[in-house]
Amino acid sequence: MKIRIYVKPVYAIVLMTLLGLAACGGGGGSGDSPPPMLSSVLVTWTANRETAVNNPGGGYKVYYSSTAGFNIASANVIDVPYAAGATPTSTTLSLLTGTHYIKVIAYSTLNPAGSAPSTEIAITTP
Amino acid sequence: MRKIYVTRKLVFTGAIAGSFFGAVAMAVSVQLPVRQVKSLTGPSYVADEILVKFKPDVAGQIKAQVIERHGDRHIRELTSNGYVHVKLRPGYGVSQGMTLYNADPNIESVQPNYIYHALAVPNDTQYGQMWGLKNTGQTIATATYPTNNPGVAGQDMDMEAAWDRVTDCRSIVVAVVDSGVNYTHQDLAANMWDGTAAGYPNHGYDFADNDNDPMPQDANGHGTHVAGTIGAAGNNSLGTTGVCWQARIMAVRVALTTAAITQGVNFAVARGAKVINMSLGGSVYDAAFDAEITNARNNGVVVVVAAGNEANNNDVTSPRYPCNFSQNNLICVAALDQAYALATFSNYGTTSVDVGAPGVNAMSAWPGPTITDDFTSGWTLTGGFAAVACDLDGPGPLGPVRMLVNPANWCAFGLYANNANDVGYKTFDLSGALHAGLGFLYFLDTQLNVDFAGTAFKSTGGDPFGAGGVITETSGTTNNFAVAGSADLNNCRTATCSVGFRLRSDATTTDFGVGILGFQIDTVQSNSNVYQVLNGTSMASPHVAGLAALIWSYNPGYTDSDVVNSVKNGGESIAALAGRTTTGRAANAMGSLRFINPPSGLAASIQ
Repeated sequence: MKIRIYVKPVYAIVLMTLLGLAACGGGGGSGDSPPPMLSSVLVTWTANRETAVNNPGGGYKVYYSSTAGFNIASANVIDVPYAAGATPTSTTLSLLTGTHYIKVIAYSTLNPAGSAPSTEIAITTP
Repeated sequence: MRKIYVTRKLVFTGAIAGSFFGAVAMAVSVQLPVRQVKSLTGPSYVADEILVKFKPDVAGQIKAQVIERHGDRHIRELTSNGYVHVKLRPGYGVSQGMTLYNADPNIESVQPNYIYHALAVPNDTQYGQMWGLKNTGQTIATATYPTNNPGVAGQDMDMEAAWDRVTDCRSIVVAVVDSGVNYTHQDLAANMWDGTAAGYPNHGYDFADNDNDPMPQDANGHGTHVAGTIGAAGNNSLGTTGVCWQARIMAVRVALTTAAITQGVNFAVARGAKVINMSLGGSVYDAAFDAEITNARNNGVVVVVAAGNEANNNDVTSPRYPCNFSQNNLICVAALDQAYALATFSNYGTTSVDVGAPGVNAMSAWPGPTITDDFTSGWTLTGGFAAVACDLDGPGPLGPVRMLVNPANWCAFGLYANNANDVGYKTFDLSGALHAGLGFLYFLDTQLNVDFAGTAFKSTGGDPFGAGGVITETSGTTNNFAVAGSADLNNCRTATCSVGFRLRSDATTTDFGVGILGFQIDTVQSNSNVYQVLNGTSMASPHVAGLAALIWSYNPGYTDSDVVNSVKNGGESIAALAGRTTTGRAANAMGSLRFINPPSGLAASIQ
């Protein structure tokens, strides 16, 4: 229990040192409000059953935004393509403090524009 | 005016109209030049190559350095206008490669190395008549549905683009629950399910006669035609092609009863069929049938059925089953014509009917030669029998129809004679047939149980009502409607089979007599090379059953729900089906191959 309490803040400081300074604008937090945290968020989904999605030229695109019900055309996107014999069904996002909305489309060389989006999910990072 | 209006409680939805109103079977005799199939399978662009266009002032040495710096490999200069063919480094896809090169100041533009697909064109000799698979605006030569013939080029299922990716459906057994299949037909024999190991040596089962031979003993060609639409051998230089060039068709012959049909579906599911086609329907809710569809659903089997040919709204006017059952593994299909208008006979319904597919002037396999006769020659006629032309009403006036009547002035509502014993017969050569069946339509008005009309056949020729003939009689009235008549001619398969009709009357009271039309002898021939054009939602349904098998063969990881989604969502939106079907779409093969289900099971967790 005690160990756990002490470990968390230490981890957070280490993370911010490695990654967070840029996000905080370089100056660090001397005298300002504490810099926002980045969380590593693992996003997973069920593999599509289309052959073409699971072959070269196929893949997924993971879209995320701070706005609920967002339009993927104006959102952040991570491409998760077929590589080394398989199409992955997960990716890791680095997300700042707050609530984030995520959805996924699948694509293939037969349909490069891709499927309709999955149901949107939300996750709140500390 | 007497009306032709064939009514039955449970019917095969399509062939009756076609076969009784002059559709003539075509024997294939013309050999057209063999067309080469050019087929490239695979993706739309090469996954690990790009084409890079450098700015005009970039020296050759610089081009090489740029490519090397990216870690890629220079393959070749394509032309003198600066395109360079580049192989991307391992792990880099086209999308990433294009992003990187586009950011390079030496680059003017970059594009994928696209793969061009020749459309796969099968060399089957009758392919040019198969407008539903490829509509060039062609005129169907033996058409029996006159509207929109020729139709509109492009109004088809986009098969050639799909065939460029997949033609072989043998991993998905398709059951044809129908009137039986001539599995020796030259275009079907190679594509039949082999049930030998399971104890079924004739490619299916017969739940009408309860034997293991689904050959159509009554020579009804409906099931053979349906089977051909699904999987007539493709690119074998003869006849037609199915939606699938190679297939495994399970022939399940059924009588049009709940008991036979449910046994048939049960058999198909138990024996491993993944798709079932039922081009049949009835008007009464049937709980046992409903439960059998649920059994198919529970076993992951896709069921494709015809909407019906009454021009009704199945949701409002009267339901059709199985179309109106609600299981989500069921696809109900309406019929489209050559301009992708809804066929005038086709049922529809925004809740019950899902998609449309080609269903008029559809050419497909036929069990054997059909003999049609309009009574004008070769008939021995006695007494009041005469061959005439009469005006009749069908759905609308039909004009003069050739008929055999008694009395001779039957058209004008004349009365037959008392003390009549009149016959009309003709002799046919049925010696080559495996099976044979007679069909016709008749109007009847005789004094009930006193005066009789009869049908007869005799294998040794001569008057079939003489000694040795097999006679069936009836009496009464058909109320100015034509009804269907038939006779099993399996015991008349000789070179001298005489077939005919009789009117006999006593000395008292007469009536309008008998009027016969649409005389046709269907035969089943070994290695049949016969093809026929038919109309009906019966013909539309197997287009979609074949498509389901094609989609599933291409995507072996699919569930039955995925296949149904693909058929429904991959279809082409057309005006004729908007507000008439659940999807408003015509089944489309390339659209279905392109369709991708939205990903599911999305989850996120903080690490």
